[in-house]
Amino acid sequence: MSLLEVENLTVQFGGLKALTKVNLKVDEGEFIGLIGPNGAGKTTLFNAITGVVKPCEGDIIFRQKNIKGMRPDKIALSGVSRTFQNIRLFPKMKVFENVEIGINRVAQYGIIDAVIGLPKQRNKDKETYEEALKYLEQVGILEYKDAYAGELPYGIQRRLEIARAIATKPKILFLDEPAAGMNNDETNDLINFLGKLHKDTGIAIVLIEHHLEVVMELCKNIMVLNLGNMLAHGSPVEIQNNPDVIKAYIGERRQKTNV
Amino acid sequence: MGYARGILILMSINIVGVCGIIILTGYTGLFSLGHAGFMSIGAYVSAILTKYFGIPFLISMIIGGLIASLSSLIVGYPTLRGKLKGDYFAIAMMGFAESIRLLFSNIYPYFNGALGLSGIPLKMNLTTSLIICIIVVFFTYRYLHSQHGKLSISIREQEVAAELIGVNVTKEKLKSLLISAFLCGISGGMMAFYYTYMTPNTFSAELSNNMLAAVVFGGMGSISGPVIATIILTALPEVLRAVARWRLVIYGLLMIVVMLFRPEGLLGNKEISLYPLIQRLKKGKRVESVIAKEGK
Repeated sequence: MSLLEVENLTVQFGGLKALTKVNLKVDEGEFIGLIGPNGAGKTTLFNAITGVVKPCEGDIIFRQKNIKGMRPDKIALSGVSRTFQNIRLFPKMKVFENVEIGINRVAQYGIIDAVIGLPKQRNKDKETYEEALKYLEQVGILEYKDAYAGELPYGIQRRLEIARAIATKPKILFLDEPAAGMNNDETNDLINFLGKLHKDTGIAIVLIEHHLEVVMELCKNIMVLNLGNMLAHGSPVEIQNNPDVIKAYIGERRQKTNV
Repeated sequence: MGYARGILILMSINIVGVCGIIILTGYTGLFSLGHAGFMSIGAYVSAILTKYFGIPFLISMIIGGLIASLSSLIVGYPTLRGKLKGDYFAIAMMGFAESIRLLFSNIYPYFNGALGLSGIPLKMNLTTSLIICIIVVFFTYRYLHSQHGKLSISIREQEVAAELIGVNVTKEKLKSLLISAFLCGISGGMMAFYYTYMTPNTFSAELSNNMLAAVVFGGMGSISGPVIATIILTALPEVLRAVARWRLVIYGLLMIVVMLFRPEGLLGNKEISLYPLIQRLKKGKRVESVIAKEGK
């Protein structure tokens, strides 16, 4: 049994079918790339799995439990985490506080404890703070811990979002275009970082990316979506040579192309 | 002296209510135009309990706050569960406050209808009200700087992200609303025991607006800002009594000027604190002790 199984998922917005009978399987510790032209339904698939969008048909089985139609926060608590295409941090909170929210999504002590300030609360807060620093170190942005998240440079904000996502100790992590708007150097950094993160934590990662070199480098398994349909899936080499994929991306048939 | 004392008592009563709005608006980002309704409930419940049943006023004030808190559940659960926010939530709360006002105007046993309650025992003196005020501000500070407060801020900052990380947004918002209604209920109770007389119209929409104005004026995401703003806004009408006719004009102008030049409020996301001062004093002491050692 795999970690996450999406079966015949259909999402419809009015008359528009954003996803049509999509199947997806993610095993424990796997690194999957999800690519496709603009408007293919990649983000919609993420939204459907994480509960932002209610699917019309199909099942989403996560750890032997159907999470289809559950509240987003419940899904998140069961071990699904994600980042966003347009960064969504808490801009007026400090960097370490952003990660702390990821660690304690449910307050660890009651209101009375908080108000009176028992030692239990102080210890818990200290623990949380230290744990947050650990995650910041892991993504390599420890020196920014006391800055406000909204004032950080773009690349650091991306990393902070990943730190916040892994602070929830997920079983599966969805990354929505982490390399968007990055130059080549930054992209290479990101490739190394994501590879290391995957090796260290063993979290299953599903990655949406338009920088194909990132996907080809990192993922053993790639899925291609086009117009809401699953077009192809396979290894990077298979995908690169798949005529349908090339047609969807470039619009014409060629013998051998580095996509 | 009695006059100044009266203003100070009024300030501390207002600060207690404003603390509730700080939690709800300043930190959770929900605007409400109807918190006078909760003050009204707190005031009536505690006044009736003390006047007719002889319950000690502190206990009856807490019961009043709890009942205000419970009543906020009636309007809070459906609106917050339906993800009502912004203007819509504010208007829903306004409707609630108005219906509470009209309801109390039409209940005659105990509530005495539109004539209101009179002869409530005078219990609020300067010491009591200041002590309650300081305790409430301290508790508010502790609450907002705990994990609960941080969860509230995360919802204000980026609700979608908070929800997708696993924060139960409805529950956290409801928690903020319950606490703010509780504090407003306490504030209403204090008001009843200070004025010794009240009608349903004492708790008009103006009162809600003033409390909200204090928080926006003082700054979102700050505790000291709104507290200072409350002190200013309570004192201002008294200071301007000499030019009574122009009072509201000056009040309005001040609002416009602050919003123009500091849209985030006086102390948006900042606190005035004594911490740097204490640090400096400590440093000064250390320097002194070093000098003393070297002298030896």
